Amino acid sequence: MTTPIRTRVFAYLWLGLCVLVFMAPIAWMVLQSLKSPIDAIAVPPRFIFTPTLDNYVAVLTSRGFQEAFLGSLTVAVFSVGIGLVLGVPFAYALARLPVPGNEEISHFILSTKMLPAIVVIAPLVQVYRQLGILDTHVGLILAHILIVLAVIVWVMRGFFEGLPRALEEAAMVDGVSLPRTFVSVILPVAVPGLVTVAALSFILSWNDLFFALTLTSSKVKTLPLFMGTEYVGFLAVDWGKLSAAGLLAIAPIVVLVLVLQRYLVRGLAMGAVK
Amino acid sequence: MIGSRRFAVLFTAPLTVALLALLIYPLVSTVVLAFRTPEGVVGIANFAAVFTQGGFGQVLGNTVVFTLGSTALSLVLGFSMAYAMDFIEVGRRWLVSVFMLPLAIMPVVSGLTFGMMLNPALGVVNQTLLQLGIAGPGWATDTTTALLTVILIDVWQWTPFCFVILHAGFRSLSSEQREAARVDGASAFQELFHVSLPMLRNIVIITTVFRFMDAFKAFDTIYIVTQGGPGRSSETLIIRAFMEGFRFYKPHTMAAIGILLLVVTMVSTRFVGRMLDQRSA
Repeated sequence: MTTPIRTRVFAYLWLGLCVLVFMAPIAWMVLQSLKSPIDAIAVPPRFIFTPTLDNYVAVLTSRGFQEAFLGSLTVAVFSVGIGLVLGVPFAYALARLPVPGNEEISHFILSTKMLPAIVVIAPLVQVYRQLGILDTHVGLILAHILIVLAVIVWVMRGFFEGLPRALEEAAMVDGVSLPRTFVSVILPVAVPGLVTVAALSFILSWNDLFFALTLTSSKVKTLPLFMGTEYVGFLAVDWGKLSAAGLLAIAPIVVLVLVLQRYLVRGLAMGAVK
Repeated sequence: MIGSRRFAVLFTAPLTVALLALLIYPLVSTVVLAFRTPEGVVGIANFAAVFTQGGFGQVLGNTVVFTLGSTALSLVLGFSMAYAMDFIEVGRRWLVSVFMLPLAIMPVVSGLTFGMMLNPALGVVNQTLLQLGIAGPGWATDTTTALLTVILIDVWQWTPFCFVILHAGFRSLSSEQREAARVDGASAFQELFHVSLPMLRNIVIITTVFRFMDAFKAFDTIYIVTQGGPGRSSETLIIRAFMEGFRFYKPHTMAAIGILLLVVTMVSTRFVGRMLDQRSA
């Protein structure tokens, strides 16, 4: 479309302003993370200072951060893995197989994405206590499976529906069983969809504060909870370390989002945009 | 397909079992819990207690203001950005990457960062304002601005979500129809309202409902930045429910609030579910 210069300039100005607004907190975090404790709380705030990597060294060598990082990684990897194993065949069944109440089930699964976790947390805590899995990795992984299932099932259902039926029909004619067809024919072509839902699920698990807050206390540490407690006190807040830890905590997800940008859009919209 | 019913069971059984244990059972228990106390069945007494609690009106009001405010602001902002992207070519991919970044940031971390920047005495925002001779507000520490502050942080976090979906929507529009409108002498605004928006209708509605639901259940930002305070000035239903359950150990009251949240969720979901199905049909 040919755009008048004036409109284009206006568009760039507006987008430039938005870049400033959306990048400012991140840029400030980067600056703060490179400051000594005195520079970090200096009044007025310093924009020019002698940068130091002390905060990063301190955070990376702290036991708490290491444990939380590993904890987050463990919980995210297992909940995404199990979520995929449970959710992908389910999504395929919804898309292709004669499942009674197909539509209702799909809507119900979608509703679990929107359901505030607070609605189920009281009974969940009770059951966890009885089973002895409060404050364990297993317990948190189970809860995170609940978080990731909706996005996996809903987006993959849409993805499978978009595949040509000829794929299965050819395999059927050759007498290949349905589970084998699913594994050797369907899954390989579904890789783009699987990447999308795996990445989104990973982000959901990685960022979750609520279940970590309510289902764990001391033995299991994850980053959101660690970030929310470690560097924040009533009297002293270590802004330099806080910023360094924050940046390190979000680094894996930032990389994921930048690399998989194109894949993520469809998943974010739960398949609303092709 | 022969035998496919058997495989339908095979493929769906594991997840069904997981959902029954992790979701259906707790949901039913919550309903039971909401109508009981440790002493026995009390009917709607828990709900009555919630509604008549001092400050509950304020919590309800906060929830409405937060949910609608955050949804509306992030939608308008995200839409304006997606629309502006339509007029540029150079740097478009770079801009999409930049605008997607807040989505990658753990809400806990952005909450803490904004807390740092908006610190009334030492924060960079008020200090900069001071240089300009303006006395900055108390942000999260002032009862009059706390709710607005958490709304703005939530808008910062989730505008990119609206932007990304709406941007994809704009890209998917057929340029032929839109150019035809321009050639026929329609102004940019006429084109937007009479050609593009009707075509984007479903995507806009879906974005709105998803955003609405996320704003409605927002927890992290408020919990990290204000914990609902000062006083009750930024307390929403979710935060109230959390405090009832985990600060005051009143799971029955928490369950009663939970039922309210559940009803809103169910209504919204049926709506968005139908919209998404229409698209795939």
